[in-house]
Amino acid sequence: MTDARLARKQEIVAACAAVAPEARADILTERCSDDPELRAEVDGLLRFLGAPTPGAGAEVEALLEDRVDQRYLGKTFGPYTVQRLLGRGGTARIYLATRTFEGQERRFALKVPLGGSFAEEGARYRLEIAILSRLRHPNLAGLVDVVAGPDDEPLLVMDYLEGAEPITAAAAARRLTVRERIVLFSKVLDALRSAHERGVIHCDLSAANVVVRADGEPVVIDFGIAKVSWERAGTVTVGPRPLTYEYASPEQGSVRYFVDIPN
Amino acid sequence: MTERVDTAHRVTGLLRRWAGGDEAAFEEALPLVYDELYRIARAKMARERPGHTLQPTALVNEAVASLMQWQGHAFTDRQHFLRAACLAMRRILTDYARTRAQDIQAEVSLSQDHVEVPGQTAASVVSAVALSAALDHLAAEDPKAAEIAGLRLFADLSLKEISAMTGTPPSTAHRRWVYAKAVIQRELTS
Repeated sequence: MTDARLARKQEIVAACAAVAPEARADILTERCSDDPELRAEVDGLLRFLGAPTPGAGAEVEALLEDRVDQRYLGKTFGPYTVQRLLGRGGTARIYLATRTFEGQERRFALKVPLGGSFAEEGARYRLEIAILSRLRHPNLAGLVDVVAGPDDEPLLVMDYLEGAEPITAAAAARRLTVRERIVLFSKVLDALRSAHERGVIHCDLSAANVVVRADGEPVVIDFGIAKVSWERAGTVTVGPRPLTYEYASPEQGSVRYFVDIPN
Repeated sequence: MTERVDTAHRVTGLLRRWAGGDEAAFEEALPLVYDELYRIARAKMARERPGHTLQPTALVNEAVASLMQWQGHAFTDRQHFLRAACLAMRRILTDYARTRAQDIQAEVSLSQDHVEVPGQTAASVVSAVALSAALDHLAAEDPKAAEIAGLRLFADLSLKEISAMTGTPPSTAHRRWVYAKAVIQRELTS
């Protein structure tokens, strides 16, 4: 085998290893169409690849990023078609998705687990869905729907917050008066009261996670590390956990704390 | 004892010449490293009860430490020692496979990168004969991938270290390792 052919074969094997097993056949079809022999050789190795392999080095990371995008961009899940990447966080990325009904297009934010992280983050994700399902308030980011992704991973369909910006930036940009700021902030407090009444504690409140929509309404977003308080008789026990230091309450930093919320 | 000091000096000199671009020096150093590794392996295996497991990583590291303890060495020296030791380890496995009627087990970690290979734990115990055959098979097709696999399996180096050590771009090293792993798995399973 020539060096070039070997390199090509290894590239295809590595590309297959980087994605979920179900997506590997597509890569074979796409990249070996001109070479049935090569295809057979790679195909014989596929079942020995195991779970998706995280990469080494920036180039590989970039390759994986593309692969993640390729799994979602332009694809349709349920009635939702993924249009473009809106942003990415520690454990998930957010795409703009649209749903068209009788010529009317509606826009949603589609939250998907980051490539390779679902195995570790699956439980976290299911909890987030359970938590979001409990929330119902105009100033809380609402969960609209959950659809299955390419690996049957849950994709969260959320309200798309057009032109949203962090509450501090929004208040400054709109030159809000003190009274207007208090009115805005009261809505945030009311939304949080509603969440607390349902036993949900956000745990990562910060200006970045309280945004103001284009229409001026504040929305609390990202319940990614939130806790449900009634799982142990109205008490939450929390160890050291991720938090935003500028905004976290002092007791969040301690090793153990209890919060009592009346049901 | 003085014989071993002499050997270590010779190995060091040869590996330095190799580092300077003299490929023949490496071929000359390899049997010396092999002898040292074999001596350690045999001593270890003799102490253990039958049905024991060969631990290539421990052996390689001990051989490198043994060859290097006689004088101060820079880190680059260690890298050259490791490369030589990993290749020697592979030859030892091949020799074991060829000469021993009774198979022994080798403990290697195929599930690197913090990813579990289905059916494999972090360290798996595999037949030394089968592992040797798998590596030979890989080396026949792609010696570079086989070297990376050796460094990974026998020296427990990260891909980043291997990439720096062999002058291979990280993405290429990664690609070769992923490929090597798949071929080794296939050969071990067949």
